[in-house]
Amino acid sequence: MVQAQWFHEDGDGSTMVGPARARLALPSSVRSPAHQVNRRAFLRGLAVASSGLALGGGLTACASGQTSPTGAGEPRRGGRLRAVVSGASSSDDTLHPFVAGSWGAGIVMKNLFDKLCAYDDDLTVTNRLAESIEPNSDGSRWTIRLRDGVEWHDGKPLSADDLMYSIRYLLDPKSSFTGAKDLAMVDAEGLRKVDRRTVAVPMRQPIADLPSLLAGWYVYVIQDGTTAFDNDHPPVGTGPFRFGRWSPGDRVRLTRNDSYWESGRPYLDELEIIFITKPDTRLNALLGGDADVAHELAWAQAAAQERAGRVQVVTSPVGRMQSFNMMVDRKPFSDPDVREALKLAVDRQEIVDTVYSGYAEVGNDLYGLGAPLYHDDLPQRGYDPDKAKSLLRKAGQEGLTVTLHTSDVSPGMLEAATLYAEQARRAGIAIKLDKSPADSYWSQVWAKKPFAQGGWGNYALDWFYGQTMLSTSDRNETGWRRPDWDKRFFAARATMDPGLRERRYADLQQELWQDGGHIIHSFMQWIDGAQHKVGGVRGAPPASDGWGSYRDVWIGGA
Amino acid sequence: MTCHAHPLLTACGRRLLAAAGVTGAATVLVFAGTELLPGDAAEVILSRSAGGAGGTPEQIAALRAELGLDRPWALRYVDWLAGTVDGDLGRSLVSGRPVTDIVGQRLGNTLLLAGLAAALLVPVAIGLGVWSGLQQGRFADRVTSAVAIGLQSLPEFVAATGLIAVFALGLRLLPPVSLIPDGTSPLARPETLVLPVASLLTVMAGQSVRMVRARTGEVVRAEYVRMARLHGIPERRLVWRYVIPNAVTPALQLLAGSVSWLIGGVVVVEQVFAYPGISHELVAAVASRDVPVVQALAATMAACGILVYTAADLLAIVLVPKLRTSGH
Repeated sequence: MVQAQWFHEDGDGSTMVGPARARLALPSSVRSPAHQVNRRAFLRGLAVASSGLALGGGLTACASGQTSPTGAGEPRRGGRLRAVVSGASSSDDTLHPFVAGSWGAGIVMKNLFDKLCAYDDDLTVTNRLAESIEPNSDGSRWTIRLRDGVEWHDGKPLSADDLMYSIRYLLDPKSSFTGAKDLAMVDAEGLRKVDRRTVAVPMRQPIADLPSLLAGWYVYVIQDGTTAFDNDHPPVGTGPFRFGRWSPGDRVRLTRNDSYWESGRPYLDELEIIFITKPDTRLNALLGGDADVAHELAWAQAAAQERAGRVQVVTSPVGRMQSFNMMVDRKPFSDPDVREALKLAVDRQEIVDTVYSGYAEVGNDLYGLGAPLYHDDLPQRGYDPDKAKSLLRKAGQEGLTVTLHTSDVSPGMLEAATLYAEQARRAGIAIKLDKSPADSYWSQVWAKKPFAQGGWGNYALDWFYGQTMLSTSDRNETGWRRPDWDKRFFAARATMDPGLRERRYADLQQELWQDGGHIIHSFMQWIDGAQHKVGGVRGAPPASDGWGSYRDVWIGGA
Repeated sequence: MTCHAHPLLTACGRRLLAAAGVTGAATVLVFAGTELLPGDAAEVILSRSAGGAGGTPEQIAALRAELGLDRPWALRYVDWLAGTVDGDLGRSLVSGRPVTDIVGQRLGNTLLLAGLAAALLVPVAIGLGVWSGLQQGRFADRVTSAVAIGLQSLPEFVAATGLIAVFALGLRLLPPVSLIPDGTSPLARPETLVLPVASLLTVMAGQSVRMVRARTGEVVRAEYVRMARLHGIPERRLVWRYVIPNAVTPALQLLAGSVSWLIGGVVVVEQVFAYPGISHELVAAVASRDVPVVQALAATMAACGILVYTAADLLAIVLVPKLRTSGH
């Protein structure tokens, strides 16, 4: 979610309220592997529950264990739905699917366009426009076959030419689209059309799981030859809704695509996506009846609304990860004992309870909680100020003082940093906070200062490592440059045998957990609200297929 | 400015010239101010779309050249000024949309909101202020003053949130957000204007009422009013002919201050109600260092503020003839 975290964030989303539950300063092994397995099974169960809901189930499962009844009844056709999403920033001022990086613009794109494949609610990948995506024996060449009978909004059939054009345009070095990083291993010149709806895709480096990258945020299929997307060049997609009208920075209106390839969908006649910056205002729009769905509510609000029951509250299992980033190539973070001490000086449970009102899961310094290949078996790092202190003594860094760069650029960030500074004091570490203005944080501070904060949408490991953990990644926010690790990553990524691949990924993560510069303290949930009459809204993780997609949503009679 | 012109016209002309000069100065300040902010549009654009971390130095340089940011700011300012005089406000550096499109309708909406608040503020401030000032020290005056002080100390978003809680979510009388149908004006759904205007009034009225009340008190105690009263001039006539003009005229400048302060309050109120005004555009444009958009909005706001002050000056000149000749 690349951009999602960058610049659209509201800054004022989180109020520090909520139950300050008794803090759990337990030894690091307290979270047993069995517990983790349960959680994973739970995520899968949720996916099943959600799809059940789409078929008319009466309950919406929430990751927090709560349910809220909907009065939507069976799916039915018709109606206009108004959804308010975060945004109204200049980054929403685009209809270009390869540029639309904010949450709001992302929701517009996914209802207009389709991807070849997409993340399911459990972060595994399912095919969408692709009928099949198959590798050769060593992952050096993939064959993508398109679904038959898919039509563009202008009636033209989807073809191999569209697919080849989309990949080449995305990878065009002149345009430098962010999504090009996701598919950097694809040899765009070598693309070959096999038949009307089949394309052979050669790789510069072999890869065993191309679909997890094709499901990336920006990787949409666009029509052959398109270069402009605006009111004068209305976007033509294959998605469930057609483009209607765009009022930049304010709202986008879409209408039902009657010839959508997924039969019976979508249900809504019209979908209006309205950008509202402040979470309080989004909630007010919902409570006052000016909106049918409100995305991304603040955590403290969600708790209150779940109690009040006036609207449905729908939470995703895993949303965004939040981290403190130490650059391992800068002092004092180049000392592994210092890194370990700083990792032990954060009370993750307290951050989850206080900053996110409980709507988050504790992180274990690794990306991808709940995603395939995530290393569940490592012990959970706990809060251990005494051990941190002794590590610092060993490193000759007693009374360590560091500056953590923070900003209110993303909800909860400033609060998490403030709390961390307090927690670290018990380990004898003085964390000074340097607050930067939100508008220049991502361009001037993040990935530049040795100790700063970051946050990423949570999905495939392959994707995240390509963005931030390779020696060549220009978003390398922790200064992690280990040629040996790179080599092992490329090998793991190209390992066709699933068991061996999992072991190799576990090994890569072991090293990151031990030595890396990420202090990933929380995975916060995504919270939406909806009127009771709205059916089919599900708590899907951001960036998954179900998140922000309105093809399964209907307005009931209630 | 010849000596033959009517003194009122001369005074007006001089004020308007000065106003134009101040607006010009404000645009220079805004342009220079955006130069001082860390980063420029090229860096911001690349930090979001070309691989983070601001892109490579070559990419930044290339984009700067493309956007014309590699030229000295004074030159770019002169270009901008020349364009503006021709009625061309340029294009957004970020989205490439014409600035007039971005500013156009939303500016109208903001002026509508601010204008309504100002139009209601002046009678409320003068009415309540004079009424309260005429009975200084009595119970009604004390209550008015206490309430005014209380409201004055409220930040806009607190006032707005309170009004939403009571009138929108509690009593369900008014919409809690100001969403208006695409392509229409807020006048198409006038009920969406009520709470934003009320929020602005709530915060601004306190100070203005107290200002007028204080002046009224002074005037009431003044020698000439007491003389007039001793001469048996009826109370009603006394108030209208002596108290109000003399209390209100000096307060006009201060009222004008409140009105131009409205612009700042409007930004907050627009955010709380998602009112389709310029504030989103301004905040976003500053964040993305989109100088042409910031410049157009800031110049417009400066012009509005200066216009209000000038209008107050002129009104004062009309109300108090002595001011026309002073300074000659």
